[in-house]
Amino acid sequence: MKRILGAFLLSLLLAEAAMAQRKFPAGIEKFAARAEETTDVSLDKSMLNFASKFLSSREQDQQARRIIASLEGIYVRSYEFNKPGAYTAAEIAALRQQFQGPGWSHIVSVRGKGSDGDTDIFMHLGDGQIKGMLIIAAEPQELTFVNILGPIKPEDLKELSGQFGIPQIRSPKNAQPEGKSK
Amino acid sequence: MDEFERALMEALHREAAPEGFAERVVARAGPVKAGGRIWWKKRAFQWSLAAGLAATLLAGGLIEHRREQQIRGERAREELMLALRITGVKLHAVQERLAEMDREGGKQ
Repeated sequence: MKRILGAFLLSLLLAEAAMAQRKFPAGIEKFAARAEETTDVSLDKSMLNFASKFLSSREQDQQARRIIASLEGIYVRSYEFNKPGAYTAAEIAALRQQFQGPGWSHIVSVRGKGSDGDTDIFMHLGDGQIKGMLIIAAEPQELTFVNILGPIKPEDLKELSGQFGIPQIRSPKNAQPEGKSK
Repeated sequence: MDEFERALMEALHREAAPEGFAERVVARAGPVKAGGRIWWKKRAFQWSLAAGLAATLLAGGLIEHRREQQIRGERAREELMLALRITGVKLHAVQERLAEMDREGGKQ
């Protein structure tokens, strides 16, 4: 009995480790066939280091350098569809389900109205630290997955949302991240 | 002319070279000397040509390597900025939506 329990716990740990290292949710490849355009960016630690050598002294580049300094990788996959309905709500729910296990925290869930789309942000936690962040943004004609591996800091998120050509907005006073939906 | 001058004249008087002396000198020394110089010059020219070619190839290789690195680096930088921009856009949309919901909540 102890052996079975041990094997079960070990398999759980292995599955958890595999999930943490996975660049994208399992099964997203099927969307590529339906997409009109696919954007795929895969930058592991060595590529991030390499890219950082070519960043200029401009403010935006310096911010990028600060953000990526401690990261292990950035992986982005974005599918653009020529019309709405290229995926079902059940398919997206199945993708979200993959990050409900231990080690993951579903910190933001925004359900948009009409063309806004739905966005979910999951944090990968371990040893009391943030070890990564996963974003699933499902818009009617666009499906985006962003996986940032490594200890990303809250101030990095602020820089990300306020820079790179995007106007910064003030933080909501009474924001209730988890489960906030409409 | 005193005794000393006469002795000096006898010692320094012009004397014709033996028959065939010049030909013998040229035959013995001339061809060997000339051939050696040509060989040395030829080898030096070959070595300098090879060294020049190697240096050109090395310099060309280094320049090409640096150019490729530059292109790869620029591409990696562009990909990084694209990834950060997409992430920023998604995070910004979430923030905007949360702010909107906050405003709506405040009105009620």
